[in-house]
Amino acid sequence: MEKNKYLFLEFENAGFFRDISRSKDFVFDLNGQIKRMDSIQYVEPITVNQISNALHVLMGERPVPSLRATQMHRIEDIFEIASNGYLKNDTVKEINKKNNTSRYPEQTLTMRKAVYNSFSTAPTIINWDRVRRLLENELNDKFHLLLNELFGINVRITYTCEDAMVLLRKYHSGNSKLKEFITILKNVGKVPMVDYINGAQKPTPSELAKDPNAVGKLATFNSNSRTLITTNFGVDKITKLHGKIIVAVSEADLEKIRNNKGVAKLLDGGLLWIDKVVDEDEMTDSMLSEYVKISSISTQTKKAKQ
Amino acid sequence: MKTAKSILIRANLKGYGIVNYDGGDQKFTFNALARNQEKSRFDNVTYAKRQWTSMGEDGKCDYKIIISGDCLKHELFKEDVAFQSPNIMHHKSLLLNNIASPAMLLRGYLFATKDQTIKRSGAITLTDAIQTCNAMSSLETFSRSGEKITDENQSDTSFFKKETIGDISYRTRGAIDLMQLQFLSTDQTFDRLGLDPDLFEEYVKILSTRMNVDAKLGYYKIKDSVIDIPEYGVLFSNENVVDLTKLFLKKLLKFSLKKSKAFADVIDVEYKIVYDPLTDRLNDENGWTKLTTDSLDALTFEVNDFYVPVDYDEAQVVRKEMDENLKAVKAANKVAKEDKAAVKAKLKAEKENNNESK
Repeated sequence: MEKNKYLFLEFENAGFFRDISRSKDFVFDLNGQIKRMDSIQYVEPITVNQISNALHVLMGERPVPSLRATQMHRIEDIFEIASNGYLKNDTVKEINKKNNTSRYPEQTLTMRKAVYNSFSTAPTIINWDRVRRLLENELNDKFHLLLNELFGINVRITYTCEDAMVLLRKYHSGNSKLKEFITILKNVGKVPMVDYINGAQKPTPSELAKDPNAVGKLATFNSNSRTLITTNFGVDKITKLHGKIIVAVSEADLEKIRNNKGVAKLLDGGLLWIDKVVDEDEMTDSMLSEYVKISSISTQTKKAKQ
Repeated sequence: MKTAKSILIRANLKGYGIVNYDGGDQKFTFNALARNQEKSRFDNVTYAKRQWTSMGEDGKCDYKIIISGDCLKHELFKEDVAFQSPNIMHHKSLLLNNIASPAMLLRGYLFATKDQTIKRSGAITLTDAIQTCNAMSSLETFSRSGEKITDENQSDTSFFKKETIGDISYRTRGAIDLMQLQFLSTDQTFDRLGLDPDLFEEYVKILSTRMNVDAKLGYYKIKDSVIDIPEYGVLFSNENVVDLTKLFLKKLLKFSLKKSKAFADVIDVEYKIVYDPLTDRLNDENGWTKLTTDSLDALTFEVNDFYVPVDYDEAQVVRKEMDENLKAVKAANKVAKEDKAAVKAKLKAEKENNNESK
């Protein structure tokens, strides 16, 4: 059917994560899970694929990921409409005169992490709960019985874990029962706890120079998977784009659009809406000034981590 | 009968001071782009989030202070989702308690482990709230005092700068996607598994404590879609979709963002029910209705049936064929891969033989 109408679309707030090379996030698709930093991304923020997906939604179809493997396939007719359309990106670009490059301004954004194994790199205190997680219930009970015996009081409710360990090192380091317990800990692989009881510290550069194996004496409590503190917050930089799109459509396409919701998302959280519909006869060249043909926008991809 | 396809919204906010600050890296952008503004080369300057507009020939821009759409959404739902932890993926009850709520149906969610990902796109889209008045922001100097333990030779008083503004008004626009609200996918095929179908009964039981639920699990397909594949999922009733819409509009109407020295409150909300997307448009001034507490209670509309049910047996036949075809494709790929490996091994062996004979 003849494409004798022009559909004018506008979009605002289309979010684009320009630099994902240091992202700790993951990408999930039919092929399983890969690190986002090992994935690929488009060089241009908006390509024919994103516009095609928005048109899919406007016409009541499901959007189809172009970089992730899914069982879905795009509808070629809609892709063709997007490909023959025009895009005007109104977002201001910041120009770096020194190296003659330009880039879109970015906002800093707080992110919730989807995957739980994002470890906190900040030094964290060790408390009774983390000790319990490392030793597990049976061994933890034995440890508390030993401490109560050595101190003669209920250690857990009297001291913080950090304070108790300082006192333990100061007054009971030579105790035979403690030494026996440490041997048990070593035998069952609870080395981080042994390091912690002994007060093993991160070696200084000079110590490392003398003995490269000093690395093995590191206090490993903060790097053991059982006791690591995970974080579910992070910050990232996002570029927000706004602009206009013009696509040629037929009466049948418009009918499909009329029967659907009239709004779609573009990129991350961007709102795309219908501005107007113009007849082919009313279109002038000036209406297309400052627009670029969507098919001419590069769909080149790059590895996130170069 | 006219049926609603989506709801367009626009809201005006009024406030005082900056409620949404940006990261420290903004100093580079600010110093490069800001026109007629005091610049600072120091790191201890806090800048507001802004949208840059109208670049002149000198490469300098005007700007409007904004509250980001993400900030608005966070504030709208923070009472419902006080804390989000991906660890709940490992606890069925906690996970269901989290996702079986009106707020999560509206806002969307994503939880992932190596074995399973559940996600739902949010039904709400809100743009950044952009400054509508001509108030000018400035970099104000503040001081902070407190004993410093790092360097005893340094003064205990330090100065820092922060962008501030007086009375300010904003406008935001958005849309409620009724198609998204109507359906919750329980199907892996369409890359939007939002709920394990085996947990449907428990999901409904929990959701029922928070809203009147009228939902059916079954195979559905998008009406008039070219892709004729039945999708297993939960279809919510017209009443449920209207209730969820009203819940969101109520939240928006009562929106109030408070910071220690700044605030932004919604002063009015207008909505437009989209019956025909080509005539009921966001840019068109006609057809907007002002929202009040009374009009919100009376609000009702008939939601378009975006999904049509598919007979279970019929769907099973299609899905079985799909699975078999997929298996065949995978088997063919495996054979092709093995053939390729055999050819490669043969070439390698020939090359080694040639080298030996030489």
